[in-house]
Amino acid sequence: MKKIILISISIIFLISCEQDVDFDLPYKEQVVISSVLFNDLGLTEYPYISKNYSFVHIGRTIPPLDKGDTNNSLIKDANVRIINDDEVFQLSYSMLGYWVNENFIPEEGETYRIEVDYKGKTTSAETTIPKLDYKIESITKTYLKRKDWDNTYYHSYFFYANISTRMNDFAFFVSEDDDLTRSYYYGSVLYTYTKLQKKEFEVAIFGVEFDDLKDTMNFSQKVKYRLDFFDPAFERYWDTQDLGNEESGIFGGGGLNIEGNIKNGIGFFYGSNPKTDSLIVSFN
Amino acid sequence: MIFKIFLLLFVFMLYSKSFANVISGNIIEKSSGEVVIGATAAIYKFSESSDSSDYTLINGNKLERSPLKGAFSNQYGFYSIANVPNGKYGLVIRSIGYDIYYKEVKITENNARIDIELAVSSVLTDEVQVYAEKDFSPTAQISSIEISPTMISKLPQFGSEVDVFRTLQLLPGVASASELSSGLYVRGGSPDQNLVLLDEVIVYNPSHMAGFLSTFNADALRDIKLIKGAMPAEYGGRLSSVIDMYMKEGTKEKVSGKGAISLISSKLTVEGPITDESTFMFSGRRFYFDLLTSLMSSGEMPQYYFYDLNGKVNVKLGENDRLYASGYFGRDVLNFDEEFSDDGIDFGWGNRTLNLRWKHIASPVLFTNFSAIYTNYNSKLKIVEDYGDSDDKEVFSTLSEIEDFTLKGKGEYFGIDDHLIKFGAEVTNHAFESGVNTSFNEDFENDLIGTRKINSMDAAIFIQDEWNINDRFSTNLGTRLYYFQQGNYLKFEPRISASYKLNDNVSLIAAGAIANQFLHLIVRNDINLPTDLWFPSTDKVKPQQSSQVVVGTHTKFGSDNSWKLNIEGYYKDMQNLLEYKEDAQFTLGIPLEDQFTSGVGWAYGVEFFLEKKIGNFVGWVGYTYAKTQRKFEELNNGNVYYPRYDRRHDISIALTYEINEKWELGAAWVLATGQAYTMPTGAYQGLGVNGNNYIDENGQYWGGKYQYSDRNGQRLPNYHRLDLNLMYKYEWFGLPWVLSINTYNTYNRQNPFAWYIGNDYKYDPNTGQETNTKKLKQITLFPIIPTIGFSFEF
Repeated sequence: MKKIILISISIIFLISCEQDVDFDLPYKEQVVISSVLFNDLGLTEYPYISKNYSFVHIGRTIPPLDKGDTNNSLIKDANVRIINDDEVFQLSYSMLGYWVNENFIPEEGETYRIEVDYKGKTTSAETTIPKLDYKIESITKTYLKRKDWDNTYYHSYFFYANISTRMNDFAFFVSEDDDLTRSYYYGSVLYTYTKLQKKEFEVAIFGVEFDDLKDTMNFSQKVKYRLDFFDPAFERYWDTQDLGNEESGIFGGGGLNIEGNIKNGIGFFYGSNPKTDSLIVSFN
Repeated sequence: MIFKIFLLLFVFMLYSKSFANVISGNIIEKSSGEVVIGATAAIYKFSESSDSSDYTLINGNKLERSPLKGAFSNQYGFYSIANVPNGKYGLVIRSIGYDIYYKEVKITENNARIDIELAVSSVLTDEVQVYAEKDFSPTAQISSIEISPTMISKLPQFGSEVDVFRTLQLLPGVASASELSSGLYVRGGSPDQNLVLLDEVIVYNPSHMAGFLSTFNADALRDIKLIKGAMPAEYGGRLSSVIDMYMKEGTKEKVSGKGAISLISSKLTVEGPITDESTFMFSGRRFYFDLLTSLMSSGEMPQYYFYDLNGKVNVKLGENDRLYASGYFGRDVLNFDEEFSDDGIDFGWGNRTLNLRWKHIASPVLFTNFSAIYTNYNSKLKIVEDYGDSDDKEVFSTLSEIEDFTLKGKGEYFGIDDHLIKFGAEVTNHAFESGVNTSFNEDFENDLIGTRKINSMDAAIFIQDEWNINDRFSTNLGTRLYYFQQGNYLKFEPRISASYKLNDNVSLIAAGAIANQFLHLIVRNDINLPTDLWFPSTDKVKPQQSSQVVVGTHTKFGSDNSWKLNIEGYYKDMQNLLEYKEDAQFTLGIPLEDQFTSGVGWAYGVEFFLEKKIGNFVGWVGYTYAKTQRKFEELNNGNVYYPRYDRRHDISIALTYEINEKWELGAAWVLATGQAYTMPTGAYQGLGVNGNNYIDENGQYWGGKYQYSDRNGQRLPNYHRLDLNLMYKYEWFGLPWVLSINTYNTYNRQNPFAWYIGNDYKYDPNTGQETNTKKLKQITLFPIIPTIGFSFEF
């Protein structure tokens, strides 16, 4: 009987099958721009060594079933330039898809336009590096205690910054800083804030968690944090950056033409003005 | 002011009985006591002619060929023929499937109350199948299809489980999103745009198993009517369609019932008299996947089941009054409890409806119906994570609920020749609640967003006049006025339809309607999930609105007009449609309204519906050519796109054939344009915001991304499928049984449910290199599936 039931259920619920399909998916070649311009930081050809530089990477889409290969996915023979008012910075190909111009240094408050001429078409995008005008009015602290499965108590401290600003339109988030100690529990992005209507907002700038140290804790420490202010269009990129990953399989269909702010192509081109700061906090 | 006018109108109608000689009454089936809907009641003058071409002979009486006056019995079996001149007449009642009823009546400045019991036609029941076509006014048939529960039970069914909505998907103008869903996409509208009524109560979630089966147990139903658009003013609150279902009232003859056992569920319906003046009907169905998995479980298996309970009691209070109490309770339950810990998931969702209805014949020309209605849909999810030996548990819970209380009154006034005036008013209080909570332990309790409640009252009044201008030309003129408290919306909805008879068999029809919808079901994709959220219109979220026009022809032909061919074309324009934004965040704490974006849509098409309802061989052939499109500024880069259920061509054939007394065959075949689908049109190196990427020594990059076509910019291959149901009737233990042998997807078509690109990774131990080959994959849900089921009656 058990066997019959097992077979019956298997028939109904486990019958879906997967098979390979021989079909040529339509292919549309598009220029892909990946670029972030940081205030006061020039273009680099090695962004993965240090993030303290701006970068411009130009690629193209390949047929969806082709192997991901830099031999056919990079564009090396385009005309790439960045324009600020009447000033034109011509970029030259460096390596692995990155383009550079050592004279180009982005500045806050300035608007930049990138143009890529490739196969008779121009792909372009525009961004502004936010001009900072904010002040941390106060820092408040919240303490929470949590008991984990091993009966260990964990003590969490969240530090909130009350920020006032006269900036009108920006994407905002708090990111980890390389110099922060590893004990910081919430070290990555905590919050995004954009299209700000209010002139004051409170945001968690970092959190830290200790295990079973509550009774012995009574000290102060200087900690660093980084506030990132972006072109407001960045938020849309941030929200959709994980869509369309090659690993997402059947669930990848949600990734549409939404990444970035590029005309006649895809990708992203954003200005950013990060601000690193520090404060002394007490744990007790 | 409008309500005052309405009240005056009602009072006028109430006291208008002094103006008319009226023949009125209730028409019921003799054996069961069920009301007979759509019967034709007509009075004839007696003929003195000796020429047989001048008269009709009924029960040996010579009656004039054309009736003097006539009427149709309404949804409750009531008929009324007003303003009858003094005299002697032959009253004739006809309804297909019943013997003709005849009675001589004499009218002399009085009203005649004649309640009628129709006998089921012995000739028809012995020899042929009849799925009665009810006779309503010609305009009531526009874009409207009725299907009998008996017909549904004979058509092939997945897993031998009779499903009302999956049968409705076989009708022209009704599409399905996928094989997985019983959701109805009517003339380009989404499932939430369907007004699903069970005994006049809205059922908010009409499906089980995440949309796989509908919640309606066909054994408990008496009538199923689908209005595909341009609905009359008596219906409101939804853009696309009405699915109007009534439960059985219970036979007055004797206690009897029906049961069925299938591979996945069992059900039992019992009905009968309580007293001479009251009857009952109770029906239950349980899906028992959990019992089967318990039997075979060797470890941890999720437990899932659902149940439905339908009940109805009706009590005759007097000659003019009857009280009904009906209810529906259904729930899906999904549990997953881990062994050796308190970790687990409890997930439940379901509907509760209750309707207390008072049918009151206020006068021979004024029929009224008053209801007090409660309906509730909720879904509750609780996830518990146990932290070992301590008492501490991390609990995450969500709640989504909509609860309505409605008071409704409706009247039908028969007092003016050639007019049937329907009017009504209703007030509903909606309570919406959604919440997300988490708690870690007694020291750490944090209401992340807590519970959000929105209350809103809505009120509507309607009036419509079904007016037979002459023998050829009929219209239905109506209007509905709607007020919705949240956002303070007041909407006026004109409704008009007309029918013109070219001859006895062919009519031209046309209809137009504006409709508004203040409640929105926000879905993440095209599969109905219990977590989908009903959300009201607010200041920010505007009500959806549609305008629809329909034109076409209705033709009857063949012996006894047993065939009909309806051809209808439609155009529908929709405003303020809602979807989640492409970058919608389901992060706690973000206001829900900020996750929606609104847009417009339009749909047009032409439908052919050829149907045969009498004979050994009954069923229909439907063909639809349709185009549905959407445009949202914040979706698909603002470009027009097709929703997934858009199908250019859709053919469906549904037939039953009574081979002999023992054997019967049901068949359904569908062929449809492939589903609109989003597929990659390119792949590229996906850099993060820090510019990082990973390239191996061979130049192969990892962590790539796909660039997709326009939303649903490509098509999956065509969908087609044949289902069969072979029925064998036999006796066992003195009871009539039917064995149903169903095959779903009989010729094993590999219909695509989804396509995607899969990765085939290979590691070469000699070189230490890993390579990835991409392949296009197809998921097919259901190959051929044979199942058996048994049903019996007592």
